[in-house]
Amino acid sequence: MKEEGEIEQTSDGELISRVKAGDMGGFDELVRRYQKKIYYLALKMVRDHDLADEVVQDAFVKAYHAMNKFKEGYPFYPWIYRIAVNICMNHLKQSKRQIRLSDEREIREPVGRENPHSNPEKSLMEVEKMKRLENAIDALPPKWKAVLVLRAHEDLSYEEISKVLRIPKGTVMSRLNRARERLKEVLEKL
Amino acid sequence: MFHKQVKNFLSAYLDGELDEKRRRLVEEHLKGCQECSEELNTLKALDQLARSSKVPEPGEEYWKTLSGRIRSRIILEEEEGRLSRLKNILVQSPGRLKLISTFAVVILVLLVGRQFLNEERGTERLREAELPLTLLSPKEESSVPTFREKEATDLETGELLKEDLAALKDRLSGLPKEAPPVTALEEKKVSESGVEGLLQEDQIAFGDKTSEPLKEAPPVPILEEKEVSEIETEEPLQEEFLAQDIPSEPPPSKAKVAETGEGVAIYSDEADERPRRRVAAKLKPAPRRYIKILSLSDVENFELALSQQSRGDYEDAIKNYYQVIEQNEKLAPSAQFQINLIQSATRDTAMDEKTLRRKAELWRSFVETYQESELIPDAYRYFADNAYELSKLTQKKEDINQAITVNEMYIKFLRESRTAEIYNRRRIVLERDLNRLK
Repeated sequence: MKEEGEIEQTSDGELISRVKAGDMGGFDELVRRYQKKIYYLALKMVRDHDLADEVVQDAFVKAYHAMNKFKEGYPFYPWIYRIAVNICMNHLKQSKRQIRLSDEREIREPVGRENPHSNPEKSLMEVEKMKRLENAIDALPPKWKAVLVLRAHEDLSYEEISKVLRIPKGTVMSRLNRARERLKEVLEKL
Repeated sequence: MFHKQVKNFLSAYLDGELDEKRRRLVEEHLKGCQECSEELNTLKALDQLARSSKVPEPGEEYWKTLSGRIRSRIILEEEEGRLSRLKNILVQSPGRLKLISTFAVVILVLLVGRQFLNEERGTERLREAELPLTLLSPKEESSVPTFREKEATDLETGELLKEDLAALKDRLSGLPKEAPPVTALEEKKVSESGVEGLLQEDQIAFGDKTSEPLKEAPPVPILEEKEVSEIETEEPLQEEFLAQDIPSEPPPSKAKVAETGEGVAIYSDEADERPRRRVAAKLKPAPRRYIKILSLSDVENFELALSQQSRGDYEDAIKNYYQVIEQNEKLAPSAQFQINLIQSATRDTAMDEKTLRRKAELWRSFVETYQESELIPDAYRYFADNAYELSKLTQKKEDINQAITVNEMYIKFLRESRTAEIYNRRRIVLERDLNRLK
């Protein structure tokens, strides 16, 4: 439909203006644009589908209610990322345990499966490594974990991470450094 | 020292986040430091491993329904806010509560005062008559409680049946005067049961659960006919009697009483049913209305349904919403709105013709039933959206016409806004579709 096409091309700023004017359709479009990014970010943080779903919903609902406070002209994604990361960090702090992906993650394709001729032993090692790494990431303090996820998974720059988390760039650098050091130690023991 | 500093910069170097000067320093150091080179390689491997980590895909259906679920939650929270405001008005608004309390106290004082006065008047008259109960026959003695009933009836109606009492006095005037009068204790019992009954009703009405309930009647529901009758008579009444309709004929007149014969025969079983029924008729409706105004059960029920809805217990939520609709006219539009939301957005996200038609019908019914509701604009939005989707799917003339009509109705609520622009554009699209069909 033409209209939908029109909405697709609309900028975030324009959609935000529409939402402020009471257009829920504009908000639906914003959700559709960022839902995957926010979901996967949340999933990597909380390691559980149901919790990640809750985070996504909470984040967008909060964003909707706070939309009138959002300054037009600023990018939307650092804002929605910040809301989502803060919710994730609260979840992690509250539970005081690192939530692991449920068994469904086992459906994830093993690394070696892509190449049937690859060395099975090596593949097993890779899978084992990956498990260790994920466990190590889960065990990181939420603040470090947030920086690492935003950098390694979301590929945000230090500048963007500092905006999302509202921390200085130097802090981003040091947290990331510490997180990687910790992961390295874990992997070296393998 | 420099080696340690470089080690700390390796992570940022890997991410390309170092400024030019530092980047050069690190690169220079890496050429001659095996340890730092290995460290960098490890970090690269770690980074690659982290990036290659895959997570399960929730499925296309999840992405399709997510925005709908988020929208439902937003509406739900807005509804909860509205409900909370309603609750505040009912319960927490000190001004209103004070007003209601003052009004209730005034009513209570008036009722108690009136009863007290009537009791005094009744006692006085009885003493004047010096009713010789002890001289009554066993059958006649059995009519003593009936006398109490009659007095209580008169107290409740607010008007002592002066004619009846006068007739009684006249008829008994010939009896010996030595007989003891009706004991004060018995009279007190009658009046207390009436007053306490009222007090209890008021306590319930104000949600006061700290007071002890009466023995004669369970605290809730106090206003059943049976309980009312028990308070009045202290004798359990037959259910058949209670089940009878309240007769519409007037209370026994003086003339009718006179016809009934001698002595206390006027208080025969047949005769005393009428006052008892009148008591039930008088007491029953008023306190029920009283409780209805202040009762929070509907609000609580609505809240329960909302929480069930947010948890995804849609069947239970719908059941409770229907209960609210039956019990509370004020909350009925909100409850029906939530039912529609569940049935049209949250639970059923299918977009086939049958579903869309059903959804459009749901909202059409809502806007027709609750024309005065403040939710009408929202309902029209859902109606318009569903009608639009339906028309785009079927491309049938009647569906397009419906979509145009509803779209126009919704636009009326929008005034000048970006949303209005969208729906105006939609109208143009619909009219174009219609013209094409023609």
